[in-house]
Amino acid sequence: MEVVRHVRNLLNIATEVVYRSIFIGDDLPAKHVSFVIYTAYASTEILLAREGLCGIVIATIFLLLQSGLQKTHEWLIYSLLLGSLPATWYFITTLPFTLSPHYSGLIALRVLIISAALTSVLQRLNPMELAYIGRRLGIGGSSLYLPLLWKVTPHLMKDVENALTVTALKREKLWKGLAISFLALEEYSGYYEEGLHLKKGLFRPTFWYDWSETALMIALLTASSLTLAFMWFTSMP
Amino acid sequence: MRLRVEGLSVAFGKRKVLNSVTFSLADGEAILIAGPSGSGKTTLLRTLAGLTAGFKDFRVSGRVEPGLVERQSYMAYLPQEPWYGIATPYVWSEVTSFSGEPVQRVDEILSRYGMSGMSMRTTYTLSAGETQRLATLVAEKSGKQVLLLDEPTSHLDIGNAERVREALKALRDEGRSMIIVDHNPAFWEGIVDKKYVIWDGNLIDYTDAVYAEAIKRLSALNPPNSRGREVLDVHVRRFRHPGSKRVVIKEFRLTLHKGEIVSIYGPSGAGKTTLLKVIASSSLLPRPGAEVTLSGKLLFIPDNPLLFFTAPTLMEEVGESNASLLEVFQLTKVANVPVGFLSTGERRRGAVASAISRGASVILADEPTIGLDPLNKVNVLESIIRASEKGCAFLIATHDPILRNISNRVVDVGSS
Repeated sequence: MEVVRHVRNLLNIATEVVYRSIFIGDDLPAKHVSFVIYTAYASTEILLAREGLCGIVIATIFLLLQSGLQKTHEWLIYSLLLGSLPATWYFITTLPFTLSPHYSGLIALRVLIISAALTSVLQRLNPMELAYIGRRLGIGGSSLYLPLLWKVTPHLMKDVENALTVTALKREKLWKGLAISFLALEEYSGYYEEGLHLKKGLFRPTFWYDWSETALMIALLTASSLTLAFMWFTSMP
Repeated sequence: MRLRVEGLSVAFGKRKVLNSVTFSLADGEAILIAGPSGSGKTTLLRTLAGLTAGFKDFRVSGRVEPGLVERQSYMAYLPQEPWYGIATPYVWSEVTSFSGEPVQRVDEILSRYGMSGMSMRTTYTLSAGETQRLATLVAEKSGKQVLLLDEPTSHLDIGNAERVREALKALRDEGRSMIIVDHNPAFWEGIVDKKYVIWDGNLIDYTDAVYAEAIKRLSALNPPNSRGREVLDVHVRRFRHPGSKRVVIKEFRLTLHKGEIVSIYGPSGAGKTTLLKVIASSSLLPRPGAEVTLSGKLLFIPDNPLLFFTAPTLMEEVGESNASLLEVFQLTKVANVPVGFLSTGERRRGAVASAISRGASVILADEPTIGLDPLNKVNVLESIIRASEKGCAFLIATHDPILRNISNRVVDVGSS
């Protein structure tokens, strides 16, 4: 039981770290690189992870390189910790079919890398960049919704957490806490509508790119793409 | 003249909220509007800002000059809960997106509002005072000439409230006009040119008699006498949010006795709310760094009291067998009203009544008087005293000085 409690605590902490890195953490230079570069980089890591054990090791090295150079190693540790949940699930559920711990282990590692790569994109995504692109594309006022979602999410999560704590203390059923959270959510949407009504027409999102971080990511992306191309080339029949 | 209102009447269905309200606002003028909760102060601001367009059964008559479109172009509305007026996740993005100022100037602009070095912070992590200052500076930088401020200091400790007041004074001196809705006219002395009160829907000149009865009752409040055995013992050695480097709580020890009221004071962001949550969650599931020994049942009332309810009405919340509690807490009239339709004051009293009905021996209450007018405040505080006389102990996180009147002990968590 003690082990289960520790694992649960660890997973709670991992969830909170990942959640905080996406929604609550300060704006960092790492969040001022185009999401296109991050998406491309994560894609190469995912494709590398499909190339057997060697590919998984190389993808891991690229993940480590990125987090080390961007000084975001804590994000990676907890993303991996959280990713271990689906990875373990895949290992257990595939084992009866593969009958090979080695093969199921490879599947689990692949899931772990994919999960960490996708989380890394989310952690670095800057909603202001997307709003800025939206404005340049002429979407205008609608581009406010994504930054607003980023801003509102922690607020709502805090209330859900409060409602669930209250429900647990009252020894009531969980759904009752969720129900009241939805009621609070409905109230909030009215308050936000009111608070932002006179500001809506003024929204002119801006954004800037951090060129040193961008250069670093382009170098990493080039290296991961070349490695992937090399692996594909050498594995050709 | 910046704004002229003549014979403005507002009604929701059959209920008349404002009755032939007349006033004017010149450039650089500030006026204050007081009045009990539900008197129509916020409705007046909403009507002026054109926020009532989508309301059902809402009727407006009278004359407001200039017309809505022109008004909206130079008006800024700052809601009571300042975070509802912030749209983007970062401080720099809020300033640049709504003011047109370049990123390079953000730090300089922030420093004028005492927010140096905060440009990269997420707006969610700002304290209420910082959020209020951010909303004010964005309104200023976006060129808005008239500020409609709905209880701008209700969520702030005195230090932050004074900072906001100074910022608004500077804006008024620059020639901006403002309409301030607040329950504490004395606080705005020297800033506002005229004071009004909305009474029975009418806008009349303010007199101290408006809140006299409630203030008399508030000053007559005393801490409860009942004290007995220990019901809660807390030792939080160290707490920081996962992924954050800032230690929020360090070496906090407290013992709470039966029927005792203890208030925790400290500036915004000092960790008062976090402390209550750590105690509440540790009582459910032991966590490293926190030891909570509890005798009896512990309940937590969040700053948004709506989140406390798990039943659709107060009667169902407390149960038929405890219906007399609703009478004690002056809630009989609203016993069968859905909790979503209750006022904040009714929700707060209802939450305390519910906690008592569930046999709570300890109630953790987060900011139980926030946003309440003096009359509602006195009702909530009397409810807390009644509950403590029934043997329930309270640990209250607050920035409201009036809580000192009913506290057996006060703990100051300072800035660490």
